[in-house]
Amino acid sequence: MSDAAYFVLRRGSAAWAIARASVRGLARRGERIDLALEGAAIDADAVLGVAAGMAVTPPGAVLRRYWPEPCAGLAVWAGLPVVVVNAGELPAPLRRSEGDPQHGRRTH
Amino acid sequence: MTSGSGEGAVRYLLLQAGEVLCALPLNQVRRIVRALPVQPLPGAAAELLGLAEFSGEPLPVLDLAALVGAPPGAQPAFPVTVVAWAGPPAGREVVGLTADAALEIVELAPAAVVAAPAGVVAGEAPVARGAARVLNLEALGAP
Repeated sequence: MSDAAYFVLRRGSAAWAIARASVRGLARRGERIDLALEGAAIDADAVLGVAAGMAVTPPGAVLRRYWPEPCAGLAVWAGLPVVVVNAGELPAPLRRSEGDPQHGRRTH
Repeated sequence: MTSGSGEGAVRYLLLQAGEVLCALPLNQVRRIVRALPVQPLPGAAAELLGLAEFSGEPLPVLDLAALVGAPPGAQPAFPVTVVAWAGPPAGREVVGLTADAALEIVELAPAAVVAAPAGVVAGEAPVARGAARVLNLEALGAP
C-alpha cells in the first residue's frame, strides 16, 4: 500500500493515475483538463478524483508483452482498474505528439 | 466428466473460444466468473482486451480466441472470464481469459496430447466434442 496521493483521470477508454506530487498545475481547456507536469503535459477527458493509500501492483510479464508501454503498475480505485504512470515516462496514449501546439506547455 | 484417461491423466477445463475448443489445465484455473466488464487499453495488442477489477485487484484480461488464433464464433450466450494463473512457477501472475463458454471438465492422458511448438498452445488432443487445443499458460508471459 502506497501513502502517496494520485490524481485519477480518464483519457480515452482507460483510467490512469499519476502521483499528485508530480503535477505542477491543473487548468480547464474547453471540455478537457490540462495537467502540467515537469516538461510534459497530459490532457485528460476528466479528473475522476484523488486517491490515497492505493495499492499499486507492478506490471506483470503478460501486461508488458501485450501492452509494451512504460507504466509504474496497476491499481484499483473505486472499483475501477487504473494504470499508474510515471510523469517522467508517459505511455504513448498519454503523450502529446510533437506537432501538438499544446505539447509540453506549462499551465499554471 | 469426460474420461479420456489412462495412466497419469490430467484434468482440464474445456472452453469454447470462437470456433475452437481449448483445454486449460485445471491447476491453472483460479475461478470462473460471468464475463467481467473490461476497460480497453489504448495501443494494446489484439490479444489484450483490457483491464478488469476482480476481488479488488486489477486484472489484465486476454481474449482466448485471439490468443489461440481461433476464428470468432456466434454471439456467445454465456461468456465467461476464467481467472487463471499464468507465467512460470517462479513468477506466476493472475490473468483473465475471456471465453465464449466453460463447457466441462475433461481428463486427458499425456499420451493423448499431440505436442505443438513451444507456446501458449502446447498441443492438440481429442475430446468427445472434437479436438481441443491444449493450453500452457506458463508460456504466456514469455516474449
